[in-house]
Amino acid sequence: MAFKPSKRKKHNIDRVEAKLSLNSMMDIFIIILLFLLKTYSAHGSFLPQNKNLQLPTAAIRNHVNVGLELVATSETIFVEKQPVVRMQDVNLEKSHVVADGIILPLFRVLHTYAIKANKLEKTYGIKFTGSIVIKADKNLDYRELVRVMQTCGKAKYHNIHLAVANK
Amino acid sequence: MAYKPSQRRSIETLPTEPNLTPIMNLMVVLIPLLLSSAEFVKLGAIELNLPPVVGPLVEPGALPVEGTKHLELSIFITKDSFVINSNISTEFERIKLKQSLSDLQEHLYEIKTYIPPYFREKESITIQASAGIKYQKLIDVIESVRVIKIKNEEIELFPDVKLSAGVL
Repeated sequence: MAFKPSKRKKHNIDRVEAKLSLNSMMDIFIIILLFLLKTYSAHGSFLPQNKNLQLPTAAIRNHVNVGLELVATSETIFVEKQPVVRMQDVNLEKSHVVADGIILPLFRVLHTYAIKANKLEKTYGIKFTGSIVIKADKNLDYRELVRVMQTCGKAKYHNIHLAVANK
Repeated sequence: MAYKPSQRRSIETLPTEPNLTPIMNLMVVLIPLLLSSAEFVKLGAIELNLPPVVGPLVEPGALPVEGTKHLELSIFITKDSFVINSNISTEFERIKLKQSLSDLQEHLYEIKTYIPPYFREKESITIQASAGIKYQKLIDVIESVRVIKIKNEEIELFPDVKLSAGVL
Protein backbone atom coordinates (compact mmCIF):
# COMPACT_ATOMS: atom_id res chain seq x y z
CA MET A 1 0.00 0.00 0.00
CA ALA A 2 1.41 3.38 -1.03
CA PHE A 3 1.89 6.09 1.55
CA LYS A 4 -0.08 9.25 1.32
CA PRO A 5 2.27 12.08 0.24
CA SER A 6 3.12 14.54 2.95
CA LYS A 7 1.33 17.86 2.74
CA ARG A 8 3.98 19.69 4.73
CA LYS A 9 7.02 18.47 2.86
CA LYS A 10 8.01 20.30 -0.29
CA HIS A 11 8.41 18.00 -3.20
CA ASN A 12 11.14 19.10 -5.53
CA ILE A 13 9.54 18.38 -8.81
CA ASP A 14 11.24 20.14 -11.72
CA ARG A 15 8.42 21.76 -13.56
CA VAL A 16 9.32 22.91 -17.07
CA GLU A 17 8.04 26.43 -17.70
CA ALA A 18 5.89 26.48 -20.81
CA LYS A 19 6.49 29.49 -23.06
CA LEU A 20 4.31 30.63 -25.86
CA SER A 21 6.31 31.28 -28.99
CA LEU A 22 5.04 34.51 -30.46
CA ASN A 23 7.37 34.68 -33.46
CA SER A 24 5.09 33.08 -36.01
CA MET A 25 2.13 35.08 -34.81
CA MET A 26 4.21 38.25 -35.11
CA ASP A 27 5.03 37.36 -38.70
CA ILE A 28 1.34 36.94 -39.52
CA PHE A 29 0.41 40.23 -37.89
CA ILE A 30 3.17 42.14 -39.65
CA ILE A 31 2.08 40.78 -43.02
CA ILE A 32 -1.57 41.68 -42.36
CA LEU A 33 -0.61 45.15 -41.16
CA LEU A 34 1.59 45.85 -44.19
CA PHE A 35 -1.12 44.58 -46.53
CA LEU A 36 -3.75 46.78 -44.90
CA LEU A 37 -1.57 49.88 -44.91
CA LYS A 38 -0.55 49.40 -48.54
CA THR A 39 -4.09 48.81 -49.76
CA TYR A 40 -5.35 51.74 -47.76
CA SER A 41 -2.87 54.22 -49.19
CA ALA A 42 -2.25 53.22 -52.80
CA HIS A 43 -5.14 51.42 -54.40
CA GLY A 44 -8.11 53.04 -52.80
CA SER A 45 -10.08 49.85 -52.37
CA PHE A 46 -10.87 50.94 -48.87
CA LEU A 47 -12.89 53.97 -48.11
CA PRO A 48 -13.06 55.83 -44.86
CA GLN A 49 -16.55 55.59 -43.44
CA ASN A 50 -18.30 58.88 -43.85
CA LYS A 51 -21.98 59.74 -43.87
CA ASN A 52 -21.35 62.72 -46.15
CA LEU A 53 -19.53 60.70 -48.76
CA GLN A 54 -21.42 57.79 -50.22
CA LEU A 55 -20.22 56.99 -53.69
CA PRO A 56 -22.75 56.21 -56.42
CA THR A 57 -22.93 52.58 -57.43
CA ALA A 58 -22.38 51.23 -60.92
CA ALA A 59 -21.28 47.98 -62.50
CA ILE A 60 -18.11 49.43 -63.98
CA ARG A 61 -14.93 47.46 -63.60
CA ASN A 62 -12.33 50.02 -64.72
CA HIS A 63 -9.69 50.63 -62.11
CA VAL A 64 -9.25 54.01 -60.52
CA ASN A 65 -6.06 55.51 -61.90
CA VAL A 66 -3.68 57.21 -59.59
CA GLY A 67 -4.10 60.94 -59.92
CA LEU A 68 -4.95 63.97 -57.89
CA GLU A 69 -7.79 63.12 -55.51
CA LEU A 70 -10.76 65.45 -55.25
CA VAL A 71 -13.50 64.59 -52.79
CA ALA A 72 -16.82 66.41 -52.96
CA THR A 73 -19.04 65.63 -50.00
CA SER A 74 -22.38 67.25 -49.27
CA GLU A 75 -20.57 69.67 -46.95
CA THR A 76 -17.03 70.29 -48.16
CA ILE A 77 -14.75 69.91 -51.17
CA PHE A 78 -11.35 68.40 -50.37
CA VAL A 79 -8.25 68.18 -52.54
CA GLU A 80 -5.71 65.60 -51.41
CA LYS A 81 -7.55 65.35 -48.07
CA GLN A 82 -7.24 69.10 -47.40
CA PRO A 83 -10.52 71.03 -47.09
CA VAL A 84 -10.78 73.71 -49.76
CA VAL A 85 -14.27 75.18 -49.79
CA ARG A 86 -17.62 74.65 -48.09
CA MET A 87 -20.39 73.38 -50.33
CA GLN A 88 -22.80 75.81 -48.68
CA ASP A 89 -20.78 78.77 -50.01
CA VAL A 90 -20.79 77.20 -53.48
CA ASN A 91 -24.57 76.73 -53.37
CA LEU A 92 -25.10 80.33 -52.30
CA GLU A 93 -22.91 81.45 -55.24
CA LYS A 94 -21.00 83.96 -53.14
CA SER A 95 -19.03 86.32 -55.38
CA HIS A 96 -15.67 85.44 -53.83
CA VAL A 97 -16.42 81.71 -54.22
CA VAL A 98 -18.12 81.25 -57.61
CA ALA A 99 -17.46 83.26 -60.77
CA ASP A 100 -18.43 82.20 -64.32
CA GLY A 101 -19.22 78.69 -63.14
CA ILE A 102 -15.74 78.30 -61.65
CA ILE A 103 -15.21 77.61 -57.95
CA LEU A 104 -12.41 80.08 -57.23
CA PRO A 105 -10.83 78.57 -54.07
CA LEU A 106 -10.80 75.16 -55.76
CA PHE A 107 -9.28 76.63 -58.91
CA ARG A 108 -6.47 78.26 -56.91
CA VAL A 109 -5.60 74.96 -55.20
CA LEU A 110 -5.77 72.92 -58.40
CA HIS A 111 -3.75 75.53 -60.28
CA THR A 112 -1.02 75.31 -57.61
CA TYR A 113 -0.93 71.52 -58.02
CA ALA A 114 -0.79 71.90 -61.80
CA ILE A 115 2.16 74.32 -61.56
CA LYS A 116 3.98 71.90 -59.25
CA ALA A 117 3.28 69.02 -61.64
CA ASN A 118 4.55 71.05 -64.60
CA LYS A 119 7.74 71.87 -62.69
CA LEU A 120 8.22 68.18 -61.94
CA GLU A 121 7.76 67.42 -65.62
CA LYS A 122 10.41 69.96 -66.62
CA THR A 123 12.88 69.00 -63.91
CA TYR A 124 12.51 65.23 -63.62
CA GLY A 125 10.55 64.25 -66.72
CA ILE A 126 7.55 62.98 -64.77
CA LYS A 127 4.76 63.51 -67.28
CA PHE A 128 1.81 65.63 -66.21
CA THR A 129 -1.24 63.74 -67.42
CA GLY A 130 -3.81 66.12 -65.99
CA SER A 131 -5.61 63.20 -64.45
CA ILE A 132 -7.88 63.73 -61.47
CA VAL A 133 -10.13 61.33 -59.58
CA ILE A 134 -13.41 62.83 -58.41
CA LYS A 135 -15.04 61.05 -55.49
CA ALA A 136 -18.38 62.73 -55.11
CA ASP A 137 -21.36 62.00 -52.92
CA LYS A 138 -24.23 60.27 -54.72
CA ASN A 139 -26.68 62.99 -53.67
CA LEU A 140 -24.61 65.81 -55.11
CA ASP A 141 -26.50 68.13 -57.44
CA TYR A 142 -25.61 68.01 -61.14
CA ARG A 143 -25.00 71.77 -61.09
CA GLU A 144 -22.31 71.41 -58.42
CA LEU A 145 -20.72 68.51 -60.24
CA VAL A 146 -20.51 70.53 -63.45
CA ARG A 147 -18.95 73.43 -61.55
CA VAL A 148 -16.35 71.11 -60.03
CA MET A 149 -15.57 69.61 -63.43
CA GLN A 150 -15.37 72.99 -65.13
CA THR A 151 -12.96 74.16 -62.46
CA CYS A 152 -10.84 71.04 -62.98
CA GLY A 153 -10.80 71.68 -66.71
CA LYS A 154 -9.76 75.29 -66.28
CA ALA A 155 -6.92 74.23 -63.98
CA LYS A 156 -5.65 71.89 -66.77
CA TYR A 157 -6.99 68.72 -65.21
CA HIS A 158 -8.85 67.45 -68.28
CA ASN A 159 -8.48 63.75 -67.66
CA ILE A 160 -11.35 63.23 -65.23
CA HIS A 161 -12.22 59.93 -63.57
CA LEU A 162 -15.49 59.67 -61.71
CA ALA A 163 -15.06 57.15 -58.92
CA VAL A 164 -17.96 54.77 -58.34
CA ALA A 165 -18.49 51.88 -55.97
CA ASN A 166 -18.92 48.62 -57.84
CA LYS A 167 -22.31 46.96 -57.54
CA MET B 1 50.41 48.54 -19.30
CA ALA B 2 47.30 46.40 -19.38
CA TYR B 3 47.62 42.66 -19.45
CA LYS B 4 46.44 40.78 -22.45
CA PRO B 5 43.29 38.81 -21.56
CA SER B 6 43.79 35.13 -21.35
CA GLN B 7 42.76 33.31 -24.45
CA ARG B 8 41.79 30.27 -22.47
CA ARG B 9 39.09 32.12 -20.65
CA SER B 10 35.71 31.88 -22.24
CA ILE B 11 32.62 33.83 -21.26
CA GLU B 12 29.43 31.95 -21.59
CA THR B 13 26.77 34.05 -23.29
CA LEU B 14 23.26 33.33 -22.24
CA PRO B 15 20.67 33.23 -25.01
CA THR B 16 18.30 36.16 -24.62
CA GLU B 17 14.90 36.45 -26.26
CA PRO B 18 13.35 39.80 -27.11
CA ASN B 19 10.13 40.53 -25.32
CA LEU B 20 7.53 40.56 -28.07
CA THR B 21 4.49 41.07 -25.90
CA PRO B 22 4.30 44.91 -26.24
CA ILE B 23 4.67 44.69 -30.03
CA MET B 24 1.97 42.05 -30.11
CA ASN B 25 -0.30 44.32 -28.09
CA LEU B 26 0.31 47.12 -30.57
CA MET B 27 -0.53 44.87 -33.50
CA VAL B 28 -3.68 43.60 -31.85
CA VAL B 29 -4.86 47.20 -31.44
CA LEU B 30 -3.72 48.50 -34.86
CA ILE B 31 -5.25 45.82 -37.07
CA PRO B 32 -8.83 46.03 -35.74
CA LEU B 33 -8.52 49.83 -35.80
CA LEU B 34 -7.57 49.83 -39.49
CA LEU B 35 -10.23 47.30 -40.36
CA SER B 36 -12.98 49.11 -38.51
CA SER B 37 -12.12 52.51 -39.99
CA ALA B 38 -12.32 51.18 -43.52
CA GLU B 39 -15.12 49.86 -45.63
CA PHE B 40 -14.52 47.16 -48.19
CA VAL B 41 -15.63 48.83 -51.39
CA LYS B 42 -14.23 47.97 -54.76
CA LEU B 43 -13.86 51.18 -56.70
CA GLY B 44 -14.42 51.64 -60.38
CA ALA B 45 -13.93 54.69 -62.55
CA ILE B 46 -15.75 56.35 -65.40
CA GLU B 47 -13.34 58.18 -67.64
CA LEU B 48 -14.33 61.55 -69.02
CA ASN B 49 -12.13 63.80 -71.09
CA LEU B 50 -12.81 67.48 -71.16
CA PRO B 51 -11.74 69.58 -74.12
CA PRO B 52 -8.86 71.97 -73.28
CA VAL B 53 -9.93 75.49 -72.41
CA VAL B 54 -7.39 77.03 -74.78
CA GLY B 55 -6.19 75.73 -78.10
CA PRO B 56 -7.92 74.13 -81.06
CA LEU B 57 -10.99 72.01 -80.33
CA VAL B 58 -10.42 69.90 -83.43
CA GLU B 59 -7.20 67.94 -83.75
CA PRO B 60 -5.35 68.25 -87.08
CA GLY B 61 -6.06 64.61 -87.90
CA ALA B 62 -9.75 65.01 -87.21
CA LEU B 63 -10.56 67.60 -89.85
CA PRO B 64 -13.92 67.22 -91.59
CA VAL B 65 -13.79 64.67 -94.36
CA GLU B 66 -15.91 65.10 -97.46
CA GLY B 67 -18.91 62.78 -97.60
CA THR B 68 -18.96 62.16 -93.87
CA LYS B 69 -21.13 63.62 -91.17
CA HIS B 70 -20.46 64.17 -87.50
CA LEU B 71 -22.84 62.25 -85.23
CA GLU B 72 -24.56 64.54 -82.77
CA LEU B 73 -26.33 62.43 -80.21
CA SER B 74 -27.35 63.79 -76.87
CA ILE B 75 -29.52 62.94 -73.90
CA PHE B 76 -31.18 65.49 -71.68
CA ILE B 77 -32.10 64.33 -68.22
CA THR B 78 -34.96 66.26 -66.72
CA LYS B 79 -36.79 65.57 -63.47
CA ASP B 80 -39.38 63.31 -65.08
CA SER B 81 -38.07 62.36 -68.50
CA PHE B 82 -35.18 61.55 -70.81
CA VAL B 83 -35.00 63.35 -74.15
CA ILE B 84 -32.83 61.91 -76.91
CA ASN B 85 -31.75 64.29 -79.66
CA SER B 86 -29.83 63.25 -82.75
CA ASN B 87 -29.06 64.37 -86.26
CA ILE B 88 -29.37 60.90 -87.82
CA SER B 89 -32.83 61.28 -89.30
CA THR B 90 -36.12 62.98 -88.60
CA GLU B 91 -37.35 59.75 -87.04
CA PHE B 92 -34.75 60.00 -84.30
CA GLU B 93 -34.58 63.76 -84.10
CA ARG B 94 -36.28 64.09 -80.73
CA ILE B 95 -37.51 61.22 -78.60
CA LYS B 96 -39.07 61.89 -75.23
CA LEU B 97 -39.19 59.01 -72.80
CA LYS B 98 -40.41 58.48 -69.30
CA GLN B 99 -37.61 57.90 -66.84
CA SER B 100 -37.00 54.26 -67.56
CA LEU B 101 -33.42 53.17 -68.11
CA SER B 102 -34.42 50.04 -70.01
CA ASP B 103 -36.53 52.14 -72.44
CA LEU B 104 -33.60 54.48 -72.89
CA GLN B 105 -31.27 51.56 -73.63
CA GLU B 106 -33.70 50.06 -76.15
CA HIS B 107 -34.03 53.35 -78.04
CA LEU B 108 -30.27 53.85 -78.04
CA TYR B 109 -29.78 50.33 -79.35
CA GLU B 110 -32.25 51.08 -82.13
CA ILE B 111 -30.32 54.25 -82.97
CA LYS B 112 -26.99 52.39 -82.84
CA THR B 113 -28.19 49.80 -85.35
CA TYR B 114 -29.68 52.50 -87.60
CA ILE B 115 -26.65 54.85 -87.86
CA PRO B 116 -25.66 55.11 -91.54
CA PRO B 117 -22.01 54.26 -92.36
CA TYR B 118 -21.06 57.79 -93.42
CA PHE B 119 -21.38 59.04 -89.83
CA ARG B 120 -18.17 59.61 -87.87
CA GLU B 121 -17.63 59.22 -84.11
CA LYS B 122 -20.38 56.66 -83.80
CA GLU B 123 -19.49 55.89 -80.20
CA SER B 124 -19.84 59.29 -78.61
CA ILE B 125 -22.80 60.70 -76.76
CA THR B 126 -23.32 63.92 -74.82
CA ILE B 127 -25.30 64.01 -71.61
CA GLN B 128 -26.86 67.09 -70.14
CA ALA B 129 -29.04 67.32 -67.06
CA SER B 130 -31.19 69.86 -65.36
CA ALA B 131 -30.32 71.37 -62.01
CA GLY B 132 -31.47 69.24 -59.12
CA ILE B 133 -30.62 65.94 -60.79
CA LYS B 134 -28.67 63.77 -58.38
CA TYR B 135 -25.23 62.44 -59.22
CA GLN B 136 -26.44 58.85 -58.78
CA LYS B 137 -29.01 59.31 -61.56
CA LEU B 138 -26.35 60.71 -63.86
CA ILE B 139 -24.13 57.70 -63.17
CA ASP B 140 -27.07 55.36 -63.85
CA VAL B 141 -27.60 57.02 -67.23
CA ILE B 142 -23.88 56.92 -68.06
CA GLU B 143 -23.82 53.22 -67.19
CA SER B 144 -26.89 52.57 -69.33
CA VAL B 145 -25.68 54.38 -72.44
CA ARG B 146 -22.36 52.53 -72.53
CA VAL B 147 -23.50 48.93 -72.76
CA ILE B 148 -26.72 47.00 -73.27
CA LYS B 149 -27.22 43.41 -72.17
CA ILE B 150 -29.18 41.29 -74.62
CA LYS B 151 -29.55 37.59 -73.85
CA ASN B 152 -26.60 37.69 -71.44
CA GLU B 153 -24.43 39.24 -74.10
CA GLU B 154 -23.01 42.71 -73.61
CA ILE B 155 -23.29 44.94 -76.66
CA GLU B 156 -21.45 48.23 -76.73
CA LEU B 157 -23.65 51.26 -77.34
CA PHE B 158 -21.97 54.62 -76.87
CA PRO B 159 -18.96 54.20 -74.56
CA ASP B 160 -17.48 57.63 -75.28
CA VAL B 161 -19.55 59.71 -72.88
CA LYS B 162 -19.22 63.49 -72.71
CA LEU B 163 -20.86 65.72 -70.16
CA SER B 164 -22.19 69.01 -71.31
CA ALA B 165 -20.91 72.00 -69.39
CA GLY B 166 -24.32 73.66 -69.45
CA VAL B 167 -27.11 73.01 -66.97
CA LEU B 168 -30.69 72.90 -68.19
